[in-house]
Order: sequence, then structure tokens, then C-alpha cells
Amino acid sequence: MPALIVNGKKYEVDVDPETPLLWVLREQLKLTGTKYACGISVCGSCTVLLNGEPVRSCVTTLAMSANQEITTIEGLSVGKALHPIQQAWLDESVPECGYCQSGQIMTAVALLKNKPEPTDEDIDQAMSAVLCRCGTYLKVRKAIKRAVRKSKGVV
Amino acid sequence: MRYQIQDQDRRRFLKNSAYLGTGLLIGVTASGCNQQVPNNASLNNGFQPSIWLSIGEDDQIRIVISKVEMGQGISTALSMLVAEELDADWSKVNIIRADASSIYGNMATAGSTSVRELWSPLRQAGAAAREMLLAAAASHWGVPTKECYTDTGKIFHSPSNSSISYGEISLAASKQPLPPNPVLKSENQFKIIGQPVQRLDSIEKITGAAVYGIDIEIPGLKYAAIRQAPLFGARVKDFDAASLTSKAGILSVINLGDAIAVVAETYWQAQKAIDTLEVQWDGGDSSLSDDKIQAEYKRLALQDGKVEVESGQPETQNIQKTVEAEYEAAFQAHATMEPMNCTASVNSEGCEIWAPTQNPGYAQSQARNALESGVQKLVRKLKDKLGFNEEAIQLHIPLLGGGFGRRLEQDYVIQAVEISQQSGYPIKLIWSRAEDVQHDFYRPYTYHKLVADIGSQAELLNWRHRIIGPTHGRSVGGAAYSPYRMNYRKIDYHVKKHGVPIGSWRSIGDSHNTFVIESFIDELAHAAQIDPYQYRRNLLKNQPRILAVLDKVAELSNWSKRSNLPANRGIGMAIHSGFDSIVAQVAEVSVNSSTGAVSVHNINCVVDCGLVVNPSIVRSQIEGGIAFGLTATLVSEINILSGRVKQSNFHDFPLLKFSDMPEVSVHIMKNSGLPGGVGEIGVPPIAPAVCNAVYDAVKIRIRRIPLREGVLNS
Repeated sequence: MPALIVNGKKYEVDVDPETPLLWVLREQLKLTGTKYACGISVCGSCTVLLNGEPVRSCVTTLAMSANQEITTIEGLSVGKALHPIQQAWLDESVPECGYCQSGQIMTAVALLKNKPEPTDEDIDQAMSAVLCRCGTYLKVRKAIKRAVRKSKGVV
Repeated sequence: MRYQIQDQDRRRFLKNSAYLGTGLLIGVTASGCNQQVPNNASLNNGFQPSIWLSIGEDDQIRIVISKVEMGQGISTALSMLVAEELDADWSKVNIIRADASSIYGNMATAGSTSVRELWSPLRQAGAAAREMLLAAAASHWGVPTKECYTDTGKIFHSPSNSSISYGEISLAASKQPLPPNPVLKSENQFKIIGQPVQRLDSIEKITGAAVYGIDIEIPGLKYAAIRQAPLFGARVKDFDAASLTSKAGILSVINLGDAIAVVAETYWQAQKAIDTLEVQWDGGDSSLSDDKIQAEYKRLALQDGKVEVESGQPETQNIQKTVEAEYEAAFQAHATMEPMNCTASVNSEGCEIWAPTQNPGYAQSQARNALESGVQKLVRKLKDKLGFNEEAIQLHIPLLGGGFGRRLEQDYVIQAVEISQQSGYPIKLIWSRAEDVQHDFYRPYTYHKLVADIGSQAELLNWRHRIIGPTHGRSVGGAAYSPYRMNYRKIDYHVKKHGVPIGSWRSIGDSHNTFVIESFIDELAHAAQIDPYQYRRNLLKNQPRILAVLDKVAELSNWSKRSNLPANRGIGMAIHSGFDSIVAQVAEVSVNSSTGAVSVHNINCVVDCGLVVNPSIVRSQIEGGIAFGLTATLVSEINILSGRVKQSNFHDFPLLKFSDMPEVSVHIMKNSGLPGGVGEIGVPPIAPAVCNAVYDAVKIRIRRIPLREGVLNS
């Protein structure tokens, strides 16, 4: 039976190993913060981190992700303390409908991990992978910049 | 956690209370209310002066939100109205999302109407509660009420240096009579209204805790996937159910007439099964296409239509120039990020539904119709009667992952109810993205013919606008009103149906009619050889409020310095008034000289939406409206080919992406009085502002949106 390590916790899951990670997270693990929107890896709403790198859980199978470190939106905050990106999102009131925001946040977390001081082009390149119908893009950019400033002690 | 789905106890209270039918007014006496609601857990056991709020002994304030939250920030805005008049401690405010009930009056959330509808009743509810708390505290201290005042969740009595929190006095307050005419604050007393208060729903949305329709989990839940007839109007002829029954997890295959649904243990099993199912369909019109519809509309544009508006007398003398143009705006999908879905549990006791709907009352009545026809079909006996009434249908409304008008339609709710009823399982129906894109209720494709006569002084003499579309309201809406001064106006139309489902799409008819009108005004300005800003000014002389917005956007966009722009770069302007608000936008664009691709660099936007409740939410709505409108101006459209929709997902119906979002600067005019709508007004001016800017840049007039292939190829 494939084992999943999600947000530091190990789960044994009894479903077809070809099932997309997205649906295993949502239905078997009840971690519904990761969202289905396109199912073909074009919109980014389902983005999670696999060994720290952003992947599309709608096209990543259970078999492909077994026994690796998976982080979902639910695993970002530690206790009541928000992840710095979540805090920046809160401070800038980024979400509107909020449906794509888990994907936006996970993508931004990966960006800042790889590039702690991203240029505008870096931000464009990383964040253009995630679609938002409400049009929160300007606030997403502001929140990323706020998180960068805060990490450098400039608020 | 600030968020709570309202529970059954509260519903029971609402049904039993003497309050039914009074809807928007506060009316239950507090004492009576407390006696009737021994277990009203969701509104707590404290003080509930009306259907809109309660205050617990723990000081927590629970505000009932009767409008649907789909991202527009309505939970926060409506809470602010109550909290303001209550003098509440904002940090103690909690949202309770109302279940569908006629007690709340109109719950339909559309047309940017929520704040306008609830502006008075919610403030009255807050003010009444505050007066009762004040009176209870005064009586508790044995001092005159007029010596006491409220501030941030407490009552104070200065002479005795006493204070008491709302929670501490809440039980006593519930014994006070309800004031018939609570005194509302004047605008200069507002502390919460007008502030950029942080949204109450942000925290749940950034932690993954927010519960959307698609996230509903209930005991015994099974999952349903669906395949609807690909051609509009087609029906199921035959399908090979036997091929599925041997597959793992498949529980039920259901013929819904115009669709097949599969119920399985997991959603993936259901979706995979439906993907492989062989279905034969009957009917539909495979000859239907964009080209066919366009040809028909073009032909109708030559004939007089039904008159929508005709005012003044046609001026036949003094015509200096006649300008004619034909415009088109394509079909558009809503493409909410959360696809259509609904969870339903039908059994002999009744029916419980979790529907991400913009129209709870309609969802309830549609569900009832579906259940009743299902009962008749199946001859299934309910507990004590055949058929359901609305009381037997409990309808919860979780968060909506976008609405934009799509969720005013209840097709997916009816399907979920039918699937649950026929399969006998509580089910969650989730549409694949392909189903969502191909079975929307689209913004209609419309065709427009315009003719205008300009006089020798550049005055607008005659204006004729003919609109051809598949419905009246959604095609013509927004065209009848014009603030521009003209001697004669005639708007006429043809309604020609074609079988493609049509719905309300953010800003409805204003979206395409503003594109047409504001583009044509730009054409007239150029024909008259007058700067488009000055041209509009001249026609708006008798409209001071609109003129002020126009002047402000010209000032903030440095309109007069436009001649300094480099080659292939231009600016364009558009103005719109509707939803009791006015919005003007100036877009700066450049056109790539080799590819013809249009880049939008920045948008200056000025909004007059009356009294502002939350400027931060207003800005978000405007930015969002611009992004939504840009997708329909430059990026995507829905095409009809062989009787069905050609597009199927975000690869061929892409949305504006992050890197293509222009800078947006939103200036909000100071205004008092009543609030205007803001959910839709960002959309209408963006298409004409961008297209007018393209003309300014390269002198090519865009008369059809979207402009997907770039200008040089158009």
C-alpha cells in the first residue's frame, strides 16, 4: 500500500496508485485546501510542494509521490504562527474568492525559497504559472515584495 | 475560527419565530426571542435582537450574512454596516453564513446590489442593538441612559467611572424593548464604514481552511462525475452502462436525459469511468456555428428592429458628417476557478443541499421541482406526502470559488438532487473543467450597427444603435441610458435565439454595450477632429457628477501630455455609469510593430461609487474587474462550431496571466449619501479604453472583441 508523507505526517492510502495526488489529498486525507480547477496542469490551483519544489498535484500520481515529502497549504503554518508568505497575504488582503490562493501561495513559497530576493521578472515568471479569475495579481505581487522586505528586516 | 456554517437549531428558530415574513426589518422582541431559542447555538445564547446578529456573554458578535460570498468581500462589507451602528469591537466580529430562507428577503447576489439593498436594514439592526445595550447598562447602574455612551464593544458611564462590556450586559439587554426607530449615525460619526478594514475571510482563505462547495464532506458521501450532451439541445440516445459496472468503485450510472452521471466511491473513479463511457446522442443542431450566427445577425442589422428607446426628433438639416460602424463582441464563459459542483443528500425525510449558488431561493425552488418530478417518475413515497416543500429542503451555501453570474443558474443543483435521489446516496457532483467551459450560460455574442450624424459645431445630432442578440435584457442592457447630450437617439434591437445557453456575465449587457458606445464615441471624436476627452466633455456639460470623474481621470493620467508618447504607444479613455456608480478609465498600451500584439501597461481609474464602505474592497473589485475585462478584450473567447463549444479548458480558453496584468491606479472620489455598486463597474470601460488606446497608437480601429490575434492581423 503506497505511503504518503504529507506535512510531516505519514499516511497509508488504499486507492489506485494512478490516482492523482490532488484527489488523494482531498478525499482520502481530507486536506481540501489544495484545489481542483483544470486537471491538466495549466492553471496551478492544485500546486503543492514535492521535496520543496512546486508540482501540479492534478497530474502527479500517488505512485509518483509516494514516500516523498509533500507540503500542502495546511502544512505551511506552524501552530498558530502563519508562514511569512501567508502573513504577507493577510497583510495585503490578497484573496478575493480565494479558490486559487493555495496554488498562488505554494508557488510564492517555492519562489522565495529558491530566490529570496526575486526581481520583477523572477516574480512574473514564477507567478504567471498560476491563474486567478478574480484578478488578484497586483496584490500577489505586493504581498511577495512585502514578504521579501520583511525577511530583510525592512517593513 | 471566524467562520461557521449555520446550524439546524437556528433554522428551526427562524421557522418558529414570530419574525417570519418580515424579512429585512428587525422585529422580534429580545426577551421573546430568548425564550424561543433555548438551543440557538450558532447565534449563541446571549442577546439576539434581530435575525441579523447576536452578542454572546463571551463578547463575541455574530453577524448573519444573507448574501453570498463569492470573493467580492460582501461578508466584510455587510458586517461593517452592523458593527458601525453597534459601536462594536471589530476584533470580536464573526460571520455566520445564512442558509437559504425567505426570512432574509432577497438572497440573490447579483447586479452589485447587496450593500445598496442592506444598507438601511443592517444599520438599523446594529443601532437597535446598541440602544438596547445602552438602556440595559443604564438600568443596571441606576443612572439615566443619556449619561451613558458606547465605544468599541463597551458601555461607559463617565460620572461614576463605570464601564461594562456588551457581553456582560447582553442577557439584561435581551429584556429591553426593541426600539422602533433606532437613531442612525451621521456620516461624520463613522469609525468603521469608510475604513480599509481587513477582510474577515482572508485568514481562512490563506490557510486552506475555507470551505467551498467542492470541499463539503458529509458521512457516507459518494462522488459523481457527469458528461452532458456535447451539442446544445441533444439528448441521450444510448449508452453502454454494462461496460462500467465491472469497474472498481462504480456504484451507479444514471441517465439524466441530457447527461449521464456516474456515482463512485471516489471522484477519480467516477471521472475516469465517465471519460471512457460510450454514449450516443440524439438531436442538437450540428450546423450551428459562429459563422452562421454572425451571418444571420449581420442580415438582421439591415432591418429595423423593435424600439428600445427613441427620444427627440431626428435632425436632418445641418448634418456635417455621418459616421457608420458595425461592432461585435464574442461569446464569453465565466470560467470560475471552482468548477460547478453541488452536494446533495436526498432521503425519505427530506433533502439537504450544499450549493455554491448565487441564488439560494431559486436553487431551493429548482431543487423542489426536481425532487417532485423525480418522485413522480420513481413513485418513491416520502414519509408523509408526495413532494417536497421548501421547508423540507435545507440549503446551505458554502463559499463560492467565483461567481460572476454563472451561479445564478441552478443546473448543477438540479443534477445533484436528481443523482442523489436516483442513486440513493448522498453525493457530491463535480463538473470537470471541460464540462464547465462547454456548458456555461454564456455572455451572448452580439452584433451592433451604429450610425451617427455630427453637426457643423461638432455637436452630436442623431445617434442610432441597433443591437442583435439572443435575448433582450442581456443583449440590450446598458445601451438605453446615455449621459451624452444628443438631439435624437434611437436604440432598436432584434432578438434571435440560437440554442446556445445565455446567462448573466459580470456587468451583463454593459460589458459589450459600453465597448460599443465608448468606442464609437471615440470614432466620432476623431471624425470631428476633437480630442476624445474634450469631445466627451462637450457632450457631458449637463452631467456634473460624471464630468467630475472624467476630469479627474484626465488629470491623473496626464491626458494632455499624450502627444509625448513614443511610436506604437497610445492612450485611450472610456467612461461608464451604471449600478449607481460612475467609473472612468484611461489605458496606456503599446502595439508590437512586428507581431501586432497589444500590451496594456497601465490603467488609471477613477471611481465615484457614492459613499464608500470599504475602500480596500472597492480597489480589489476594480482591479479584478479590469483583469476580468482584459481577458475578454485580449485573451479569450468562446466559439461555437458544429453545434457545440469549441473550447474545453484553460489551454484554449486562457485567462489573463500574472505577467500581463497592467499597473492599475484607482482613485476613489469623495462622496456622501448612498453607496453605489462596485462588483461590476470595473469591467465595462476596460475594453473600449484599451481599444481606443490601440487606435491612438496605430490608427487601427478595433470593432470586434476579443482582439486575440493582435491588431495587425485583425
